[in-house]
Amino acid sequence: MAQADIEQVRTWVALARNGDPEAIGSIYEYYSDRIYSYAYSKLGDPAEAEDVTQQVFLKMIEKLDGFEWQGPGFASWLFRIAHNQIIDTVRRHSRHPQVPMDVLGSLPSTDGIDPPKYAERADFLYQLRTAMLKLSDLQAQVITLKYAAELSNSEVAEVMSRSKNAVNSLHYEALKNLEKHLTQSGYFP
Amino acid sequence: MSQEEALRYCLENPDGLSTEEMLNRFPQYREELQSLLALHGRVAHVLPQTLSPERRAAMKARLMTAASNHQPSSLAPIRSNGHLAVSPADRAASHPTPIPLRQRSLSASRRAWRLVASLAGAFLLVWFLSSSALPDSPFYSAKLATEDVLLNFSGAPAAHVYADLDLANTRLQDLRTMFLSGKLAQSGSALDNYGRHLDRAGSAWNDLPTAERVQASRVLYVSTVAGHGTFAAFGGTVKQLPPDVESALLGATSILDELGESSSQALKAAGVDPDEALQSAGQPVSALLTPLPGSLPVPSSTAGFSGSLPTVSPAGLSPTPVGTPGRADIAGTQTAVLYLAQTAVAAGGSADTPVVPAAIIVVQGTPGTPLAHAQETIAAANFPPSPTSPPNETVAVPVVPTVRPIMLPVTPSP
Repeated sequence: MAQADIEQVRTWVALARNGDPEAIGSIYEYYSDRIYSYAYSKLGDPAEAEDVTQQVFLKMIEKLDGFEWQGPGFASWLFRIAHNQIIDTVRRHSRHPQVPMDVLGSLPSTDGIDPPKYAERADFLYQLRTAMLKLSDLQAQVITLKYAAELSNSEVAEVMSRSKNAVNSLHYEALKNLEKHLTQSGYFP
Repeated sequence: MSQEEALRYCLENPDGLSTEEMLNRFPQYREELQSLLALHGRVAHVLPQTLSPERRAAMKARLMTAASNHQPSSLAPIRSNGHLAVSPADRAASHPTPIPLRQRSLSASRRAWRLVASLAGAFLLVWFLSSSALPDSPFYSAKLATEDVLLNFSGAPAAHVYADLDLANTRLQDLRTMFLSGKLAQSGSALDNYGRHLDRAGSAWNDLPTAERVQASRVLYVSTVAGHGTFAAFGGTVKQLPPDVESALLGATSILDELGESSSQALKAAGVDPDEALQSAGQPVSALLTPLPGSLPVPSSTAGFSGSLPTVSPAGLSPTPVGTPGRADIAGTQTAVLYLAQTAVAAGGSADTPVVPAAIIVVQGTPGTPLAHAQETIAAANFPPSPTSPPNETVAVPVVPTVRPIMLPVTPSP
């Protein structure tokens, strides 16, 4: 995240703590897609991911007073809320089989997208997720936070309570493993 | 510079170079870096998902209402099907109970007081009848419900942490009693409730100011150790549980894992030795650290480990030890024999963070309990960091078996 963005988020958070709805709306606009993307990657279900996204921001309003800048950054704090919310959701549904990932349904509208490219992207996404299942949980978590939630390695480290060096290594190992699995299945390079 | 460092440099690109210029800096890794950078680009392109504009707008509108009212907890979320999730309170308000005719002559205040007295009386009666109920009792759900009511009066955030942990520990005691009575299979509701209180405690703990958080970390850590020790004692019983109970156990285990690690790290960061927190634990939680009869002891101190690591056949959760097992002294008086296995132990669900090699702990040669679903990573266990460490490497294990013994990367024997 650029310094300008950090300052902007700080301003929003300060205003939001005073109950400024516009600032809360700005935080929502800034993070909602990333929270949704993270939840979707974890849950594999668009509707559940939407519910989690909404709950995360409602909880954010509830807990904003307790947030301290001295601790983890705001993004890390928000994604920890998301992580707990996802665990809640998984536990609620733990008596049911895992919802299969709706890969095609999650892709953006085909409007204006060349159909072959759309199919190719969907195919690669499916293969990527299959390959991710072969990663260790820590590696998969890094890939999800890094690419689906678009967090920096420092932010990933804070969310996962790991050092940045450990996250760097996990990221490298994860990419190497993904490369191996995707190459074996003929989807890469 | 290693290939990993070269990749890090290329991804961060601190000097603002073109891809070609970056690759030229590392001719020895050129081919590998090119491939990894291409993969990085493709993953970054396909993995992010976005909300539809309509859903985003609807959710934002709801959020803005919550922000304006500043009472987010009273707001029902919009379900993804577009309907409002109506709370029981809303539902009750929209369908008021008809007032009997004979009461209409009473003043409003007298009616209100009678209602309050009746409710309080009913509440006390239910509380009295259910206070000692166990999961196989018809009053057990009433007991859980009355606890939830009382929990709402906990006050400050720190009090919420302690109150939830207290209830989690009460639930753990219920589970221990049920286990000893051979009725663990009927304990699904207790396990669910245990996980819920732990989760809520962890969530509130996360939001505490630093000083209060460290203090609460002691209780949280000890509670997770008690939970792990109890669950480990269930041992082979777990395999005979109904799927829903086993699933609840897995859910609670994953929360225990996460909170155990977080609280341990918080203590260490504050300069507090987690072992010291264990040893100074007071009642009633310390009673939960007592090993269940016939079960594995809950280690109460650190252990040293050195020696040749055994190789094992990759037989899932029932590995056959091959060669001489490693030994670790636990608590100075008990000897645990660690059989190490590389197994694909699937933790509680897709949201669980780490899946690790499991260790089987065996006390004095007697087959013991597979401590599955442990969350320690190799790094957290202070083990050689590479998952490709050779199987017979001699290692020293400083601090590990407070609960979960040792997770080791062991190459399966051919």
